[in-house]
Amino acid sequence: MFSWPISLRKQTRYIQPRGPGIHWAPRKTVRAFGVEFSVKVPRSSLNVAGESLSCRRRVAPHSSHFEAALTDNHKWERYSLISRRWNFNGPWFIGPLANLSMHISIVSLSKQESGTSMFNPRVFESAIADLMTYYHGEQLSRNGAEQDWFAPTGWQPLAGFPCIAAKFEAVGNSKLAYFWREKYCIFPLTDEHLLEIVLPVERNKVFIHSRTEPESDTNQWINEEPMLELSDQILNSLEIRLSDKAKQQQERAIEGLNVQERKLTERFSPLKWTTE
Amino acid sequence: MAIPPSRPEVIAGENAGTRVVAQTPQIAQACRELAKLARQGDYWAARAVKYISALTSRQMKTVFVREGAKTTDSQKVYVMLVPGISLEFSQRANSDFVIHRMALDSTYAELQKAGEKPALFRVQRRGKHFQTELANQVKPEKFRAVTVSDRYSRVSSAAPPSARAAKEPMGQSMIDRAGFDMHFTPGDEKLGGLKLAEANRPERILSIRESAFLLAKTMEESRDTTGVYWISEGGGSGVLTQAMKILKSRNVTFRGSEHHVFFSKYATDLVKAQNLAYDLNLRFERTAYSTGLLSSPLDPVRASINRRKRDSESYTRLQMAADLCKGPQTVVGGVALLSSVGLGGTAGFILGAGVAGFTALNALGRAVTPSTHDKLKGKL
Repeated sequence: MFSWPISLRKQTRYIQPRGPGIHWAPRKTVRAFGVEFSVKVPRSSLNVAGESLSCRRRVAPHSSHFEAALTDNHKWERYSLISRRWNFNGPWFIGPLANLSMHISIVSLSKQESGTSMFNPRVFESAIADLMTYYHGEQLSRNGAEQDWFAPTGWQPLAGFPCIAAKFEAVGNSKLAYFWREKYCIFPLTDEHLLEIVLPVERNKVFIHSRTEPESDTNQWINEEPMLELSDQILNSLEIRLSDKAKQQQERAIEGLNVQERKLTERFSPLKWTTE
Repeated sequence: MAIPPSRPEVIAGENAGTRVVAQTPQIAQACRELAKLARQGDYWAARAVKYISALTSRQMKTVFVREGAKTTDSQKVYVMLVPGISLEFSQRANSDFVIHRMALDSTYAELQKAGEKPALFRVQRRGKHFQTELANQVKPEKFRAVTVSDRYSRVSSAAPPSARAAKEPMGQSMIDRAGFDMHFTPGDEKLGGLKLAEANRPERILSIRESAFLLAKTMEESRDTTGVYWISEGGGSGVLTQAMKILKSRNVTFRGSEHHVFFSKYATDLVKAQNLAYDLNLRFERTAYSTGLLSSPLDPVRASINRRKRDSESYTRLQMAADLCKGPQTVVGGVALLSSVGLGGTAGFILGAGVAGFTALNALGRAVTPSTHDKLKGKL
């Protein structure tokens, strides 16, 4: 079927959108603070220019290069490395229906407690909890009785890497009919810095019966699977190689811990931000 | 024995002022629910309770008369609309206000958050993308930028063009660092442009009425904040025009608040919008609009002459003359590029294209593919 990003027709039925494949995608390698990682990144579609960003092969940003003023609360800082967005189109000139983005960035706490290391599994876990609270902790509905996001869900410690790494999702509250989903993959680069890969899945609102009132259940009109499949394929292609310095930091961080303590937790249930 | 008429339940003003009563016990129950919501901290419920209690001193600031509708005792029907609550009431001969109908919809805010209803969002850069968060009112900060977006099918796809529009008068650093507020309207088609009925009479488009009411409310409540910049993006000029029309019918004035307006790539009648802005005492900078692909090329000419008529003090003849040439800039640039091919052969082409072409290409590029233009500019 021909899926082009040109929109001439309107959607009238359930559609499985099509996006780029991973097979021919080039591999993108970045060496950040000496730690080398690479992922397969499909080529971006044309009409989303202005969103894409590629960094140099080697980066070691100084703390003043980090973007701090993200919100009023400057707890976490960020340095963007790679950004992409891929359109997922309907067949025969229905045009873009959904998209998957990818943002790879270095994040760090603006004021980290001295003596702690992100290579320590417990520090790493609490940093992730803190990061999720920073992103979604204040997003509540129904006078604070329901939280808009559940994170982390589908927690999965990743094996086969030289350092600890974890994969999880943040999903919108289905009770409030929010169809949001973000896939995360996080691993430590240095004692202070984490590498964050976010893959937000976004679907258009579908206008079938009215021009101004969208259909209430997007799941009945656009399939989410193709976007999730590509995001999984991208994350599966991840490779990490630690530098000597990072290895030393890691050894120092897990010194004196037993085998159980060196692993990430198997279960990490969604955080609760509602006060009740 | 005759059954005594049921005593209507008094909601407000039992001891002093004009009484507000509920017509049926169900409505009284709904009012109690509303008060409960307000106590829990629901923004709009608190506003509604405030409006109802304001009725006791006969203040009706934000209500509308439903035209053509009459109660059984032939009184006017008033309507109050705030997100999530719709309320209809009338005034009896004995000066009591009586509430006929009241509907509570606590899911409105959720629909707004999901991008299914028009709403105000706070937009902030997060790395390479924008983070949006539902807001009830304009951030009370001096010189805040508020954009009025065109119709988009997603909030996240409305944010980048809105940011681009806001950068035109405000500058890049302001928007990237401080963020901005965005009034979002859901829909699958852009407003105005080649649809002449919409472009020429934006104040009559029914499908954006709800959005315009909300925007009017936001604008009215933000008057205490100094120097808010209202920036419409593309067809958002239609929503802004309609909102300003509503405000004018309510005799709202922005005198002394130093609020400015800017129409970025307007897609509806510019002259109408400009006149309404003058009526409301909103202000203009030296440049108050930019043209896009869907903007009428004649409007800058009409708007410049009109602006000189309305504001001959600060808008000089020279400025008007300069603006008159600006409108059909893309057209003129394109024609210059084409004519240089025909007239001067190769040498003429290189010279002509060099001079006229660069401006034309720049303007054309910005008009046709703004995101590609931004990307190239970002690399240079």
